[in-house]
Amino acid sequence: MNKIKQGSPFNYIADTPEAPAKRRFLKQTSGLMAGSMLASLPFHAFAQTDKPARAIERLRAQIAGTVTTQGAPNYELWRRSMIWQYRNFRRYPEIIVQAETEDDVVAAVNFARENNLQITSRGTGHSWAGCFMRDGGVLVDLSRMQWIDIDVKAKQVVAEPGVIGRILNARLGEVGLAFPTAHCGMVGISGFLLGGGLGINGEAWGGISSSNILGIDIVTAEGEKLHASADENEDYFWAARGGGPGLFFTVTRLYLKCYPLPKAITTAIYILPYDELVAMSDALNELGPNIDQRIEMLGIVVPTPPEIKNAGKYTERHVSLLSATAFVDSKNEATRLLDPITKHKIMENALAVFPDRASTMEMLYQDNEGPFPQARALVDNIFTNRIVEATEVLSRHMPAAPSNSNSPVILWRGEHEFPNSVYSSEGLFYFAGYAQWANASDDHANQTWVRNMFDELQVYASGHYINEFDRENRPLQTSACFSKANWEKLENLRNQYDPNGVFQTFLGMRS
Amino acid sequence: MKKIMQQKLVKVIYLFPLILMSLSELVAEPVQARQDNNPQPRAVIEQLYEYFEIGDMEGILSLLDPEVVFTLYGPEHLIPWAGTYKGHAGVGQFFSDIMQTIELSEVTHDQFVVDGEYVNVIGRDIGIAKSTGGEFNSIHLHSWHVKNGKIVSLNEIVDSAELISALAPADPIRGQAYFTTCAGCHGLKAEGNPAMRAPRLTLQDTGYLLRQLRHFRTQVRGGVTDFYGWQMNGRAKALPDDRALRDVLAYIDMLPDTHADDSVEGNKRKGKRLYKNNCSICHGDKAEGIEELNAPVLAGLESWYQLEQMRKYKNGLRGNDESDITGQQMRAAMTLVKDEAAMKDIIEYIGSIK
Repeated sequence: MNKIKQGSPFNYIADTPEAPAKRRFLKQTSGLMAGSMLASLPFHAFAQTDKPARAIERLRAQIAGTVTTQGAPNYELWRRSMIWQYRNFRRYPEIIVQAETEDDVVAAVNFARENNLQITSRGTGHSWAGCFMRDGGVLVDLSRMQWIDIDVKAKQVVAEPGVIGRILNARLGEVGLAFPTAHCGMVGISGFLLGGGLGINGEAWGGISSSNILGIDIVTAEGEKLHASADENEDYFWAARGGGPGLFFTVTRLYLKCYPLPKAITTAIYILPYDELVAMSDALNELGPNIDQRIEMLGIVVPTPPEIKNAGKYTERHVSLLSATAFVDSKNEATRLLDPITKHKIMENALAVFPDRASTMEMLYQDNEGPFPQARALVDNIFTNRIVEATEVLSRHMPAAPSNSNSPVILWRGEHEFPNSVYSSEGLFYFAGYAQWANASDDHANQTWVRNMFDELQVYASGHYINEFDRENRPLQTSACFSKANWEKLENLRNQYDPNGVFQTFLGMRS
Repeated sequence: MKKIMQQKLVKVIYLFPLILMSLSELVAEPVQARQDNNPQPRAVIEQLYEYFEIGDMEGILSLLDPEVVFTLYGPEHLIPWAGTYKGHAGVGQFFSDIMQTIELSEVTHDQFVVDGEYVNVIGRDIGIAKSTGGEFNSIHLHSWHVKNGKIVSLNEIVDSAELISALAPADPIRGQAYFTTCAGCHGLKAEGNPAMRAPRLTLQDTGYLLRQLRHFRTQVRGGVTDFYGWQMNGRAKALPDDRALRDVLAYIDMLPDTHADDSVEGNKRKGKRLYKNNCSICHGDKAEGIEELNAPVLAGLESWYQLEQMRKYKNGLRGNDESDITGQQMRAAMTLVKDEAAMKDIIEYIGSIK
């Protein structure tokens, strides 16, 4: 099968490796040596010279959104505006389309296919690796597609890909519903869900958030608008639930199952000395199998809070923090379900305990977003069944963390059965190493810190969560985010439904 | 580090016509008398900076050779004072050109490197472009040549890109790209979104919004204890520079105005009295805002947002930074509003103003 190459007629006269140099040379010498050059260039090179500009103008006229091309004065502004965090991913799409409607997406896909360009899309640009940002091709920005429609009776919501998690839950909360969005409220729902989605109260709300996708509207590589669900266009539906950053189609609408908003969300927070980190992981391991699914329990390493530091008795840089949130309908029930955690012997060493804070979804978002300064960031992760050994690795690396905002998280997951989808990565625990820092000069130190720690952790991995997988440093390990069978099926479906590679595959992997 | 306040420099401008008129006399005057005999090159330059700081143009000229040449590097079609200036008249022209274009709030001379007759000084120029309001913080290299106690030349190299950025007019086309990061919270037409605690932006004058964006960027407003301000700190810093702020505001300025109609259920009648007595002097009789007083528009803004901001002023989450002068004024004004009920009454009245 013929695959589209990375180059394209917009950069090159011809789609050949030697063409860029020839084009530059031709430009420099036009009027002087053009005649003598003719003989040495392929004939079709000239047949294509003015087609791209016309095609772009047609696209511009066709869509409600905007089109920006490489070389245009404001191109770099648009490109950088696509990335949420402050790091500059130095990958340069040839064309950036900011879509307003589903028809804009269709036009962009058709344009890409007809002009031998590859296509990627972004929702709100939160991808840790900036995986939507590729060299060459078309980047479609879906962030302005923010439509939401709630069916209260059916407990379902239809949402476009630019919808942000916080907005979705604010709207759902008005009618007593909730959805397991990302833990940070600013994260858009589409990239999060299509990559599987480790969401709020994930244990009770579907195991993985993408389990709650009931259907999708998509645009195929042929520019066709389709609806996919468990009953129609099943292959697309299978791939959408977990194949996110390497899908061979664009999702323009998500049909989601919602849950009744718990009436008494209650959070218990236990702040432990940093030295208790490994013991805390042991406690999570011991408590996990016996706690109710409606409790989200995690451990995190954070800088010592000022209140504790100012008290003067504790002088360590970090503390270990255990947080457990009960998603239930009464405070009594919350107290009962949280009781085994509160009574665990490790709590005898707690520096501070906040046993029963009444929480809202908004407060949970703030808990998670407060420590995130929206600066430069990187993450890697493993699922693991060997959390204590993995935490021992963390405890060795944590003191050397180059930034105070590097906050690794250990989340109890338990055992789950997933629906028939490409998502297939699991372990009793999810362990993510979030690194955040302020200055470009610290990029290398932080990247090295994360990479070294997770190099050591690979031996304990039972899988990986693709949305928080370090695809910049480990692109060739991307298949480890899926079971072997599912990875093979995904690639087979890609070849079947997008044989010419209109859509980019996963970052760092050639089509 | 030496600092020169902008008002001191302004003196140079006021002096300028006088300088031109009496230039021949000045040149002819025995200015040498003002100086030591053949001082060291570094001392000459330090003396010049001192004259500059106090706005003593006569003093400056006394240090210059009559044939002095100032060369300011940069594209002349983009930086109005770039180019070559000769003699005392030329230097006067240089100061005139520069001060017509920019207002300096701070000039620093951080590092002196002396090589015989040459004195190279690295420092910074901080200020705004008068035509655009754009801020700059530009590094400079002054390379002076001092011969026999007189300055014979200056070669100045500056961060041209920074200055050109400040001098560039706000561009809504560029702003549209930057607005991508705003639309998630503030809405596709900057109409605001209570779910994101994001106010509508379209009613506000650009000067107020620019001041707030700068405050968010520098964390004069926001900070970890003000959660939604903290979110804005992150997004404002994601805009790459001061020019981007002006660009995105130029785009927002083009979006259609919409008006809120929500309520915080206060007493409109009580609110009217409170508003007239405490608020209208700055914010206007119709809560239309008074740009000259840096007082923003209130009419048409969301009631929930006004209440949230009044609370923040009241409890010190906003207006507590000493560099936020207008915020401090508002915080002081809020001491006149005794409680939450009074805030709601005022907001209810503002909502009723047509």
